[in-house]
Amino acid sequence: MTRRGVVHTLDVFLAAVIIVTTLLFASQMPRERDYLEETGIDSMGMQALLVLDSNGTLGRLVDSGDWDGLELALRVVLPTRASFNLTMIDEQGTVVNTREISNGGVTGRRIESVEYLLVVESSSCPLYRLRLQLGGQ
Amino acid sequence: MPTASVDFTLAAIAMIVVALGAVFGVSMVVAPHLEVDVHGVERYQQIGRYILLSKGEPAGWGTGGTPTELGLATGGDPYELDIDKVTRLNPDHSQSLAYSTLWQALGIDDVSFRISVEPLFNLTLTLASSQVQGSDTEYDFSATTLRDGFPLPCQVSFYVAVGNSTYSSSGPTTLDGSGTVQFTLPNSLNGTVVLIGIARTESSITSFDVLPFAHNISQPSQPGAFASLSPLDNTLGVSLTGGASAWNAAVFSYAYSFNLTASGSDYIIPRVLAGGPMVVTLTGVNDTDRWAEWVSYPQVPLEVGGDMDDDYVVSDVRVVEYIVEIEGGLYRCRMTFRSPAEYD
Repeated sequence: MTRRGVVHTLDVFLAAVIIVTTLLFASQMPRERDYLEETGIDSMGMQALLVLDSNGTLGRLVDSGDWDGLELALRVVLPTRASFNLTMIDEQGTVVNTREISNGGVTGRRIESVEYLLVVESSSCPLYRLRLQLGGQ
Repeated sequence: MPTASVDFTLAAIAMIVVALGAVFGVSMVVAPHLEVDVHGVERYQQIGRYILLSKGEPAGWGTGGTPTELGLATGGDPYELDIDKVTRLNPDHSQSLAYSTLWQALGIDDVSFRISVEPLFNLTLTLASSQVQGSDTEYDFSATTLRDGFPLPCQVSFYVAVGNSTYSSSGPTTLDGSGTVQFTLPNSLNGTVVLIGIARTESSITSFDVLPFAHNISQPSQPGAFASLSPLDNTLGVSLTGGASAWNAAVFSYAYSFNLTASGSDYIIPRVLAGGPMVVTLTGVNDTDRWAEWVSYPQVPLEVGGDMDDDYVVSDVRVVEYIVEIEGGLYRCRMTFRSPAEYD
């Protein structure tokens, strides 16, 4: 083996050691992960609907047809990085909301959908199926 | 340096950059299609749900004592938290629980955590200008309501507490999240005054802010300089310092404001049916200093738990977030978890 060949072998060996060490170090670096990615936007959306329903806000807004208020409530309780679109369907399968309840359409690399059954406290006690589509990074 | 060494160094750097770029690029592209490390996240989500959905042991630990099991719920609706349990998480409260106590009560040795509770949006009050008009002084304040930096139109109730007097007003913040309010105070009064703002969106989601300011004095008194206030079990605990004496205690919510009834050195806080955060003020005098202190009930925003900012610990930090309800008001509860790397 010539001297030149030995040097090249050492070069390659050293480069491999540097790359492997760098990759190992990078994989061990602690980082605070994106909670949207971690938590799952579907569970976050379901939990937001559940809390809005349990304090009566959701039923009140749906019963009064206050789509602006409903959109604003979702804008506040959902993370700003999540996009959403809410559709309300009554017992006959008809879409109830007369306008789009969304913060600009569902966009993002992750698209999830949750369905929530809502019973509004009123004399007729109507039942609605809420379909909340969510998009996130 | 020989040319070969320079070549080698540049080549090594280029390879590292390319390799790292490839790793991050590939992980970014394939991440949505992979179920990555679901186990750890689900575990933390379950711990978070357990804390928020269980009452803990004893169930009434919010009003006194030390919990042997950590749970913040009232036992009513899901994600409805006990106002006193949450208040005792605040390190500024006189009966606050240390992180070590909370960690022992959670009972999971390999998990450290941090809990924060805060309103869903921010209301910020600032003093814009003041002008003496004869025997009065006019104060102009600006109010800004933002949600993660985005403007949020709201209705805001404003109150001013000074001495035995309270003043009130209300107004909206517009589509750009800004609003103004003006108060006129008589110059016969002086001392620290507190401006309280409680904002509510159309969907009954609330936030608040308090701005102490000086009226006919040079500087407002420092928070906690003359009294520390600790609300618990619908009672305002008062601890006066430095020979201060109290004049008047009052409570302010979005829809109501009234003076509190004294019970010894403490004051009884009534339950407000309209819900949302309450701000309690106490005014008093110390020699010639007329001071004002305040506290919110529930005592939020708060942050308690282990230090998650240590960059040298080889473990990942994971965050789970929930919307919770406390006495009719909605708040954001963020839990940050971390375990030693070998448990991930």
